[in-house]
Amino acid sequence: MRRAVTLLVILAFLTPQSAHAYLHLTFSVGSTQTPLKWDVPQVRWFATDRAVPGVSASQFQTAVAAGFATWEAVPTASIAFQFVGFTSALPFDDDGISTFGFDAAPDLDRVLGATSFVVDVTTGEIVESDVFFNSIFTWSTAAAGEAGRFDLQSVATHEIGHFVGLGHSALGETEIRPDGGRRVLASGAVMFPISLGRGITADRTLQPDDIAGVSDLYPDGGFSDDTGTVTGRILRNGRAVIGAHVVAFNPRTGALIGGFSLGEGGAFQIGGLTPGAHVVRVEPLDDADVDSFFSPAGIDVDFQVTLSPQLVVAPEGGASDRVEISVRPK
Amino acid sequence: MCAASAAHAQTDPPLHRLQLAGGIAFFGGASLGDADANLRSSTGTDPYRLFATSTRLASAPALDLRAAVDLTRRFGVEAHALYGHPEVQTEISGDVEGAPAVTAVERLDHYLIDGGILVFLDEFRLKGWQPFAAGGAGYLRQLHEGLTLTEEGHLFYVGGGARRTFVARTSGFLRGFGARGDVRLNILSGGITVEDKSRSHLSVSGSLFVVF
Repeated sequence: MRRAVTLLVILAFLTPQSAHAYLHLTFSVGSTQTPLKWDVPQVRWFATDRAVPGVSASQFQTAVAAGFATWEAVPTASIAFQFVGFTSALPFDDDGISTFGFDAAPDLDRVLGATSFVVDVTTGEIVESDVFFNSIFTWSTAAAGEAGRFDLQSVATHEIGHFVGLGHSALGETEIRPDGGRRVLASGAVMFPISLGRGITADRTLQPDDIAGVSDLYPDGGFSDDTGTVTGRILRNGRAVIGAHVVAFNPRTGALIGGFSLGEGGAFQIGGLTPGAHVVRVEPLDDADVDSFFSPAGIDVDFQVTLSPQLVVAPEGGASDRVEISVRPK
Repeated sequence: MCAASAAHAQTDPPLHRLQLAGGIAFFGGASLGDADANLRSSTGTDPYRLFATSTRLASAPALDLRAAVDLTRRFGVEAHALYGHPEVQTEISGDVEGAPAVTAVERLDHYLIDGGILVFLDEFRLKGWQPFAAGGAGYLRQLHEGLTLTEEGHLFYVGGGARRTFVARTSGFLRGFGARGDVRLNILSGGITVEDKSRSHLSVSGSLFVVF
């Protein structure tokens, strides 16, 4: 008999007004952290039968299905989805079915969408996950996007990333606006926590960081044998830096894949890399709220952006020697 | 004519005899390409550059080994191997958040194994030095630092040089002893690179040879 618990997970995709690469969601099973993931050959999902201005229930289902198809098409990951049907149930109902749908949440006036989970506490397996899209915003399913409206498929693709077990990526740049909010300048991952903005459809397409993340969770197609890992530690004055955002850049492929120094002694590892030499860049986690990624306790953001003076080689099917990168205080 | 024949006999390695040469080469550097680390811009137009990189293979000394045979007074064949330990240097600049520019490096184990023909140009002989032209093709093998990853490619080369035989004998185990200098233009493709296109490296070498 399965014992399940509803997690208090609200992984929100924020509007631009607000505020292992890839970060895997984890769950404590006993004394170990277990990645949250599905353990069924095909994940079944439902769509609510609610429409919002500009998006019918059918258009909603089509856009979400396109988002699922995007993740399903990753050649180095094995996860499949099945649309079961429409439902009158609401997202976040603990009803045993995974539901995607619109709902109005005026109190979450910076949140475009969010994902919740029901998890088997003995294994960390996801048994239900619901995704809501905040209907206080205006939405579009137009093929090329629509000025002034958020692209539903882009936001759905982001939320499906959470749905399969991915956390937020920090591959992005923002600036603080005069009103204290953040404006996104650029992002390098669908899983960046803040939307690129209204009318933009770029997040329909997965980036290398997203692909590495889902492939690490559900490896297939020789992913583990054909890619490499960069490992190391981030230090400041000889002491571990916890929570630094570490990015590996492959000049040959142009791929950027990120991770975090969350291990003991400031250790990090970035997997899913095309074998070869990588430039490694370290930055403080200051382009979104730290709690968009993980608990902010103990996270160090008081250091300068640093480029490693060493090219780090990700070997095929293995890991690099551990590189130590020293950063300086701001 | 008689004088020329005598010169051959005294200053060139005997035909069909194995010549082994060893020496020092200097393998010239070359650009491996530029690449920007780009994010997707919120404007949806131009990419947003996080930083820029420019990568080159630095020049380095190398060990140079050859085995050659003169087939005729005009033509010879040779096999050649070169081993060096150059750096790959990636200049990183223009960081959007102001990180100081750095040059990130790794050291390679760099091997070239090739073969080709030699064309002896007696008509340009000068003070006992016999010029030659050379051309051929071969195999490139580069091992990243830590020997954890191998990358392969191939090369074509054209070049030339001159050699001089200091001692030549018509009998005995050792039939001669001399020196040679080579200059080559190597066209490399594959191996460690950023842009998937061929690149040219100049190499010069000086070696001593013995004839068996």
